[in-house]
Amino acid sequence: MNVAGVLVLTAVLAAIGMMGVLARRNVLVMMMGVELMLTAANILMVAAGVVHGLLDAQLLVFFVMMVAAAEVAVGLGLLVLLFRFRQTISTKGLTWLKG
Amino acid sequence: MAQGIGQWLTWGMLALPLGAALVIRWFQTRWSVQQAGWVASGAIGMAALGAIVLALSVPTHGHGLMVPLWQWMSIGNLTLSLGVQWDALSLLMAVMVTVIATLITVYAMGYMAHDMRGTSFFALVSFFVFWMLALVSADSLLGLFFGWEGVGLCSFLLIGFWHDTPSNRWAAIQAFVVNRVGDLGVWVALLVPLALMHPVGWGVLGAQVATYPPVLQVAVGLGIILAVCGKSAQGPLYVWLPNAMAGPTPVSALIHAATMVTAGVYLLARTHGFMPPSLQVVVMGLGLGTAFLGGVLALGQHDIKRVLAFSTMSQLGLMVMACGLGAYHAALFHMVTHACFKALLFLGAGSVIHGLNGEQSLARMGGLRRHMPITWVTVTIAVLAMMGVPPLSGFFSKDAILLAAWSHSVGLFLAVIGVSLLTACYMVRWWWLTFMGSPRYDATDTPSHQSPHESPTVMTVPLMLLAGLSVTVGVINAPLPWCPPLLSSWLSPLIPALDGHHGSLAVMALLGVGIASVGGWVGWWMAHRAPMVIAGGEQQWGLPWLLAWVSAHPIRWAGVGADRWVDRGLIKQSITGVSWGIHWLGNRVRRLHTGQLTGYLVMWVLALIAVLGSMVMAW
Repeated sequence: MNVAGVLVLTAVLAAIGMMGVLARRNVLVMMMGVELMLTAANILMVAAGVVHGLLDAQLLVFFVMMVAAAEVAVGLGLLVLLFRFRQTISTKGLTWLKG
Repeated sequence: MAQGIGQWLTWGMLALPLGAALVIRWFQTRWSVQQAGWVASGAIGMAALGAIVLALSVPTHGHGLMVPLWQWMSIGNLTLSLGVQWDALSLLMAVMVTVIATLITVYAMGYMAHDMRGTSFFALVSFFVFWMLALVSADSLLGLFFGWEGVGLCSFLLIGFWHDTPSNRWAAIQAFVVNRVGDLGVWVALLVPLALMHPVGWGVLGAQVATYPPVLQVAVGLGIILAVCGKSAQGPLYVWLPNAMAGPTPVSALIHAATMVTAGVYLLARTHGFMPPSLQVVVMGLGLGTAFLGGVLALGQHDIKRVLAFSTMSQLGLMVMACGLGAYHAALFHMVTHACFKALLFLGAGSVIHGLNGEQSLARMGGLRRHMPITWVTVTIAVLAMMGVPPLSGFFSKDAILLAAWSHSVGLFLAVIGVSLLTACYMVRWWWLTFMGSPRYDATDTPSHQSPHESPTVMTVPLMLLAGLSVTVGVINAPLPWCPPLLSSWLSPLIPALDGHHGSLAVMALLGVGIASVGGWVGWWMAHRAPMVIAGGEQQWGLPWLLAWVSAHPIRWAGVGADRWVDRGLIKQSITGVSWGIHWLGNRVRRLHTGQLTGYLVMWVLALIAVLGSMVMAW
């Protein structure tokens, strides 16, 4: 198995996801970036499980996917609310975290 | 004596005055002055009985009767404990203190009868007696220190007893502060052995100090000398004693004449073993100088009590000088006789003040012998005893000091004769201006428009008893042919006697009469010819002013400077500086708090990178 290839793939995926979260203002795209990073982590876990012959790591991937699904459900709900309040889903000018 | 009975007596002697103080304080508003007075004199009288019983029964050889009271703490090999040691020295002090205190407390029932706060006065007197007993009976320097501080506190409270008058408050604070300077000396003498983890009990302390290097021996010795200066009003630290006369007269008699101020002499006698010879000379010179100074300053006073205050200072100087000569027996003997006749003199002065409704200036007295016969006769006996007229008690004790001075050198002998001349001089001046001559008081001038009156029986009976003591107490150490000196033989196992000369009694008696007549004649001349209020005398010719300018004022300036430059300068500025710096930093950091999601995420990622990066680097 091409471990180096998997590592490079996951690193690239994670980097793209991170850049999506950090650089974009669109909340939907930012959530997609989060999903990309989770996918990168999942791929890495599956690969590591294969290399070390551990079923646990591959099993863990299902949990991560489940958590990601839940997160998306909550996140999209918030997104709808955000749109209702602001008529936009851009984070530009969004300073509600200041409290 | 059985150890058990001795323990019970000890507990009782300490607990009774303390208990009386607390009980009187508790019933302060409900009891009359008389009730409080009876409780206080009863408790102190019982303590006196206990002291006499112990003195008659405790064997004086060895270390006497040891009563451990409380083990305070144990650090390594060093155990600090408080206890009582009844030996010849502490019993002598305890008997003297309690007997004199009993008589003075009874007298005070008359003197304080019209005082609004007379009950709390008796609480404080009982409290003082407790601390004084703790001081003299302590079996270690540590225990003595507690008593030393306790009597200082009581002295402060009683000098300022009439605290409505600002000058009384000032006198109390001055006495306390000057005494604190002296207390520093006890502190030094105590800390040197404690820093070396050595026990401070009297039995072992002397031998321990003798093994120290000379520097530490001198430090301990100087500490003790400083302590003596503070408590016994020696040297430059005398300034508080004349001002302490602001207190009620029984307090002046008890604390500032008979008992507390003799604590310095007691400390010198207690630490007789470990004063280096070079410092013994210092002690001698200090005592002699103070004796002269007190005598000269007493001549310039016109306040009936301040004359006696300087006289006390002068006589204490003689005792300290005798200690410096190694003549501890003579010093302690003079301390006992002086306690009797000086207490009597003060109580007589109090009787005069009482009879004249508060008048204190000698310039407005005179001729009182007709109105106050008992006061006059008893005070005359005290004056004669103080002048050293044989065969009164003062003759024998001054005789012992003169002989000790003679065995040192002729010059010192002459100096002591000079002090005795001064004593006779100011005593006769004082006595004449008060009781003899023609009346100078104005009966219509006194607050109640009364002519002078003799004091009530409750005051005259202590006067008469003290007069009896002033006459007879000399026998305890008189070198009479048919009776060996009792006090000396009693003290000898504890403090070795000085191998001095034993003068012929007849020669000494002639000398005593001669000194008294010559000095007395000069005093009589002064009473007639010199002005009654001597210019500058009340201000002690500027001596306290000078002392204040070389000591107290520079220290105050240092305090003011420290307040200005250190407290409000360095410390306050650095604290406000830190506060200002945090404020500035906060303002800067606040800008990071934008509320922008992206900014937070960037920071989070950077932090994650830093943490992971450092983990990788470490691995």
